[in-house]
Amino acid sequence: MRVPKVTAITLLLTFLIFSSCGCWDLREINDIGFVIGVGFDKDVNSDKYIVTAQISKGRSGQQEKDSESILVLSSEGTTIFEAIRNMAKISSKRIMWAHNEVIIIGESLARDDITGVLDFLTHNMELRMRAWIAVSKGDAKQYLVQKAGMEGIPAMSINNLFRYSKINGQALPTNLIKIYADYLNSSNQLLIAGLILENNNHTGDNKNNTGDNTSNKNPELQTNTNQIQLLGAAVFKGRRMVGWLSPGETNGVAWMQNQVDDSIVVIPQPQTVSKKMTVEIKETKVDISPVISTGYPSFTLTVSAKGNIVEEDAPSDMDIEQYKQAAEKAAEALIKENIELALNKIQQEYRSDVLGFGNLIKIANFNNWKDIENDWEDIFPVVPVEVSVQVDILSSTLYHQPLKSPKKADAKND
Amino acid sequence: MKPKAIYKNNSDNQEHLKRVLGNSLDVIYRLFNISAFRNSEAMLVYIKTLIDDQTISQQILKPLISEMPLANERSFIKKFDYIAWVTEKGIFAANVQRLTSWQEVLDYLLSGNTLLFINGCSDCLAIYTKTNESRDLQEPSTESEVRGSRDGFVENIEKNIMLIRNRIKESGLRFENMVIGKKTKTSVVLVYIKNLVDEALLKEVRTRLERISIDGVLESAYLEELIEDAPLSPFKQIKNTERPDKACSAILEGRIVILTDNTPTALLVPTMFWEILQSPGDYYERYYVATFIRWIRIIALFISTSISSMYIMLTAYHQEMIPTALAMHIAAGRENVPFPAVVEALFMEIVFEVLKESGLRMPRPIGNAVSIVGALVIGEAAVRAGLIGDIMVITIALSSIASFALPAYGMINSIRLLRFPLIMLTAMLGLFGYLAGIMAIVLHLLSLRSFGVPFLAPVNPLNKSIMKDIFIRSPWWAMSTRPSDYHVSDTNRQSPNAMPQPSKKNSDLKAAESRRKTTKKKVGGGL
Repeated sequence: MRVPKVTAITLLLTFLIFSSCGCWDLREINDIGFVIGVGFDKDVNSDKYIVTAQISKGRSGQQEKDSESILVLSSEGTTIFEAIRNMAKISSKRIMWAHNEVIIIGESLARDDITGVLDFLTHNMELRMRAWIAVSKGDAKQYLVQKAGMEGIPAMSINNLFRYSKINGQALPTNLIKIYADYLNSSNQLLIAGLILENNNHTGDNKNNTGDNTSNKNPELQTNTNQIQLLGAAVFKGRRMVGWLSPGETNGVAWMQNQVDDSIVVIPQPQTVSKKMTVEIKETKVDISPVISTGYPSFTLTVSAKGNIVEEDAPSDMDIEQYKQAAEKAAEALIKENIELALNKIQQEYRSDVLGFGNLIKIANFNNWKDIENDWEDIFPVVPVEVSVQVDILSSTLYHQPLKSPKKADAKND
Repeated sequence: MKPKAIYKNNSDNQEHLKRVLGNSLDVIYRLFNISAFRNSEAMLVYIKTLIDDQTISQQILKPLISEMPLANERSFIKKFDYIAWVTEKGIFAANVQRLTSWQEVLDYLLSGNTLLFINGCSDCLAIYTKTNESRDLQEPSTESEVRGSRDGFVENIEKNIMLIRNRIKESGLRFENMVIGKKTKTSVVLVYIKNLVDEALLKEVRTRLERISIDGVLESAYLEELIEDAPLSPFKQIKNTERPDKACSAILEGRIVILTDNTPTALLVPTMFWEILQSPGDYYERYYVATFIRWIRIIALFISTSISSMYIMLTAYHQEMIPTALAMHIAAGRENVPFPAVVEALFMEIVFEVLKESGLRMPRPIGNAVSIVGALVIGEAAVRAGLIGDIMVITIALSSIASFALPAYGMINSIRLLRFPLIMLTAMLGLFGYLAGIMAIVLHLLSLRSFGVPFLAPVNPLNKSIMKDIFIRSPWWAMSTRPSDYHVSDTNRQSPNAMPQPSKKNSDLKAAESRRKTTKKKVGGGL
């Protein structure tokens, strides 16, 4: 016997310890329902939270294609956690939050108080701080029962809407960690992306609005359904939502937050009356700096962007350099207009520092901030912001010259 | 019972040998007369199955019976020393030894010598007549390489020594013989270069081999287990090889190769853990490719030990660590599986081990049928029947294949086995259990030594040669020193500036180049 008795006993005991107390926290993956999207509402009458969760049933190649891939559960409770535990009454699987991608907050709840939701979302260790967060027009519940996008799971589609929000430029990719950081900041106010459920009916054909999503089997329904759109933004003041920003104003905010790479600017074409052209924005630089002199602070906001002409609706025989200059000017004017619109709305109407101006002063000059901190709510609406925009059009992709029309008659008509 | 001295009378000797060896059919007693000693009676004793007939008849019998003139030298007449005369003048055989005790006589006889007894002599002559037959030198099937020599060690130790001698023509090369095994009397040969090897290491190897008192050594694995540093460890601490080039490279690094008779497997001491990542092919391949392949092996090492426990860890404990789409897919695949992930994993691992083992023993013609049944029927059907999830099949397939991507089959087998404790630990404690298991393995590895060299060297203790031959395979011109871990007396392998470049002084080359240029110009002008 070369193995000493002590060693043998230690090994045996170790094995017993592991095998008797082991498997703590074990959950097999097929016993779990993955929450992919969650919505929070508040019933104003009963003052109860309504939590709606979109849960994946799991898909695999072997199952038939048409089977439902999600299950939407909804339950009520006086607190959010109670509502979730109430969900266990109807859910056959343990609900797991770690894969949650999208958090939707109903407008009524947002206008009431967002604290409970934010606390629940950040308190729970399973939830990820990278989840997208949005405020929905109307109840959040209807967004989770709505089919959306090309993915099998609607919440995944909403997740992708957030990921590609930059190419449209009229929405903000707000995730939980940013919102939570703003919530904890003493001067920043919350600005959360907006979700809109709208019938995107371009054909005018309204006979068959079943709410069903499209499929290859009946493609004629394609333009005739309710669509979830990521558009606009909800402005908060303190713990409550105070109002919406329009898509144009959201674009202004997106410019100020430098979230517009790959977005487009549609401007009138030089030399024409009604024709438009499109510039795709590529590289953007945004600099917001406080100018602190004695007394009230002011801000200079410099935006510089590079872009390409991607579309012209009319031919032009202008010299390319002049043409570009004209287009640059028009684009600058449009961007400046959107920014000023947004600033105006935020400063004058909502009086809520969602852009973090106060924080910038705090960083630049802490002493000055100390002086004005208490009055910031009154100072913010009247802080002057000097906006300067510079757009540099590099080229017209593939074409070096504006499109020319060789037919004389066409040119005269414009 | 045993007489101390050899009888002077041949018939007494024959009787004695018959008593000791019994009536074995292959022991031959050949009586004849030596013409040179006035037809004095002599006897050859040999074991028919061990010797080469030709040698006996041509080298011994022919000269002794027919060709000799009468022995009448003065010295001989004085002493009547028949044996000395036969050795000096009588026979042609090269390798002879004069024996006096019965114990020696038997040892020599049983290891393929022919004994010559002459009436009236109290000693006998052992003539080496062993047949040198063995199988052909083939490339070892477990260590085949794309490029490299195609010969391998065989069961005949002399052939093996020949293979090494052919490769290293160095006067300091030593073949030190030891006989191990009370019954088998197997010859074990230590091969090393005298002025390169660390004397302390050599002494240690000798001591450990001398300690062995086993009755028989049928394979070098016997020795391996009897001289290891940590006999209880799951890791093999001595590398073996059937490739002579590998053995020679070890000798040139100042290590010791242990050859065992009747075994095509040589042992290399000391051994380092990282040799499971190294194969002779690495050194014959472009070094970029070899480095890349080495990293593939590192990944394969990780996969083969860990991927099945990773699967359990992720699916049973840490589902948040799986990408969402994959998590949903795994969940769906496991929807109808009635077992926990650990049972699933163990089931598949065991199925694979059974398949592997049956594939090894199977007669060749049936092999195909079994692999079809094994791979297709069991894999596919088990998923369909809901016994296991489909991702599990991929996991197990990966871990099994990965373990065979590593070149040192013997050392890998023991590492492969570690997967099972890791699976159990992970199944009980999740990520924590997995890490605890890995930690225990690493700590154990750190404690190991192979003949005085830390098993994990040169990674720990850290040594600059780590950058030469562990994680990258440096080009030959950059490996100017031998690994210092073996304490070799001479560390220089080649001159330090070994990087090749075109010679600047070779005027012939330059002249040829300029000639080429001018002809080119002329042709161009003509066109």
